[in-house]
Amino acid sequence: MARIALGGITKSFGETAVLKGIDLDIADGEFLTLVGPSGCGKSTLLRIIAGLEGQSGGDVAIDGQVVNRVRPSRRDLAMVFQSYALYPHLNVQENMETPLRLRDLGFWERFPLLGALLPGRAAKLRALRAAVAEVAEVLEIGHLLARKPGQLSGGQRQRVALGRAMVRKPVAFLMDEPLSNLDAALRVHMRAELAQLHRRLGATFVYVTHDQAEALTMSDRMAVMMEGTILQLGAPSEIYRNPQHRKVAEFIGSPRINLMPAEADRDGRVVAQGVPFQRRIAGGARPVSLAIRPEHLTLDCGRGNEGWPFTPTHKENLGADFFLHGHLNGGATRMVARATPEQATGIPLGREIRIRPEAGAALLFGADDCRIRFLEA
Amino acid sequence: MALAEVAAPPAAARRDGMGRQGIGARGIGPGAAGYWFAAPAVLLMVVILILPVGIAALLSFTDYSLGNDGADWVGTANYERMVGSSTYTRMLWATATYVLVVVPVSIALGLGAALLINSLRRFGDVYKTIYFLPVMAALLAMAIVWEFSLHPTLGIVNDTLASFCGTGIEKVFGFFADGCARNFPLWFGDKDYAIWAVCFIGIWQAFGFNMVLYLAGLTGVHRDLYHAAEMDGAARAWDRFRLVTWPMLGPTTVFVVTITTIRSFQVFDTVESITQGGPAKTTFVMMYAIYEKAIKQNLIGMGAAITVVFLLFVLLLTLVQRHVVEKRVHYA
Repeated sequence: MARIALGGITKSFGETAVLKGIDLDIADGEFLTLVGPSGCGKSTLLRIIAGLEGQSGGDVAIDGQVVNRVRPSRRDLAMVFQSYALYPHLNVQENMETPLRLRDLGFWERFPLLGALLPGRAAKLRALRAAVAEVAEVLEIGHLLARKPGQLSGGQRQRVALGRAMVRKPVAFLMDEPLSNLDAALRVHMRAELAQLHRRLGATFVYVTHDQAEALTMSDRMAVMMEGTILQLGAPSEIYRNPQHRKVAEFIGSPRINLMPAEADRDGRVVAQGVPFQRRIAGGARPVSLAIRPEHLTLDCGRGNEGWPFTPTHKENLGADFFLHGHLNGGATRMVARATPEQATGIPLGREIRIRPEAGAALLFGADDCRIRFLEA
Repeated sequence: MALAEVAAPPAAARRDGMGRQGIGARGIGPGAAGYWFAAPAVLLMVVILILPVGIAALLSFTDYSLGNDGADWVGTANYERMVGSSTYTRMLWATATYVLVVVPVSIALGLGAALLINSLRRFGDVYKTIYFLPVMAALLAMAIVWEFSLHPTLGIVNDTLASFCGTGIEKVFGFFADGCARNFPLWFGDKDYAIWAVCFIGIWQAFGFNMVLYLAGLTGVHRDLYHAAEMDGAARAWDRFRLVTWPMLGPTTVFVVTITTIRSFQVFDTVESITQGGPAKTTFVMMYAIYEKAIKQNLIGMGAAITVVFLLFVLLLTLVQRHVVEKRVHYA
């Protein structure tokens, strides 16, 4: 229902530049996630879209209209806060009615006592109660309408906050880490529900999170932010498979991607910790970083001497998978490798085995942290 | 409020003691230990709170004077005099006027000042200091300053008012017409103005304190709530005030109302130092009445009777306030 376009957004608090020129086009009906470590400016950017914070430079446009000078309440956006920000003195029904009352009832109709005398008010109230009831049914909170926020669990409050955002049928939803106050199981559950809700409403969602798993699981596109800039923007699978920056590769994916120093020789042949790679890179001899995800390592418990000698020091059991933590060559390079439960039971801790990278899975980053592509063979 | 709060801890202590069987197992019976733990608090409360109030209540039915060997039981004679005599009717009027004017006005001003200061980016501390100065100053000393300022012939107030004479303002306001033609009010000497002048000093002195309490309350209002209100469409300051600020300040307001009311009932310094209850008993507030009857005229019985009535008012207030708190105020 709304296209949001950001052009050259900058923001500084005093001397500190928090946002350094953000350009971002959010398509109508898209679920876009802003993800990054705390302090990267993602919440500030969301608040700038909402209008709760003014940008130092650049333009915010909603459906082609520049809204820099439009106050938040007139931008027709809804926001879900990390703290939920429910009005604690109002019950759920009243909380959800509030945006409708403020929009649909005139100043005098909202006036205590006097407002009740105005004609037409009863019909408006009936209409907004019906709207609240409808949203309450969608979110399955109909039985909670009479309760105060203090009497609700975290998950229920979360739903009420969502409901309050939904009743008004805004052009876009802005969500500021809405799941971070929930327990782990509920968070996973709400992830699926939010994605479903997005499909059902078809509205534009801008979602801020520091949790890369939320970004990967829910969004159509995600923007990875670090230190006030967007390092990479793309579909979750693309960003996971094809990170353009070392920091993106490190931030996205759990457990973290394995990084090790490597050398490229004059011919562009890469050798990492004694293991040569078949593919070559352009450019002369230089130090590079090799990155490889835990699931792209093959374990070899036999006599083979291909790959790196790896000594597992800890096994992490996740049920379906095991993660083996250990180090290479008895040295300082720490690695994590994924193993199936069957493989993992056969591997004793402290005994050296061999691991090797799957063909085509390794990523290279230069000294400037940018991605270096292998030449096509 | 004060009474209720003091009464609570011993009751709770006793309940705890009852729960722990076996502590008092040395033949005193179960639960006895609890009473021993509660005893010091109960004893102190009886000695310094209940006993004096009880004695005052007893004295209010006698004609006791300090120095007398005994006193005669006069029944409800002291109370009947309070209902019958015009002096005491005026006492109740003066007290009621003072409380009903000072409480709402000083709270409204305190809240207004707090909201304004809170919205300032700079100079907030300067205003805080200025408005809080009257609270820190001794009211007795300040009362003397106001007495001079409001002096009919020497005071700066009437001088200032008189300086407007001849500017045409007397044609607009009857007040100036009278003032310029004859003289401006005598303030503390005029029975139509005295109580209002006393109220004015009370407000001037009390609102800074209320402002500080409200400022403290405002720091506790979550910023996200204002943002949520703004996103929900509360574009007017009034909407945000009604939706967020006022409800969130509920607990502060309860405290401010209670404190200000009790302090207003207790007004004494201004009256004692400036008007001594006059003119024509229009500023004869309860505290001053107790002082005049019991201390100056040594009519302890009468003084005790006024004290009991005073306590009843405060108690009534406490009950109403507790009722309101439980019903209406939201504690997050």
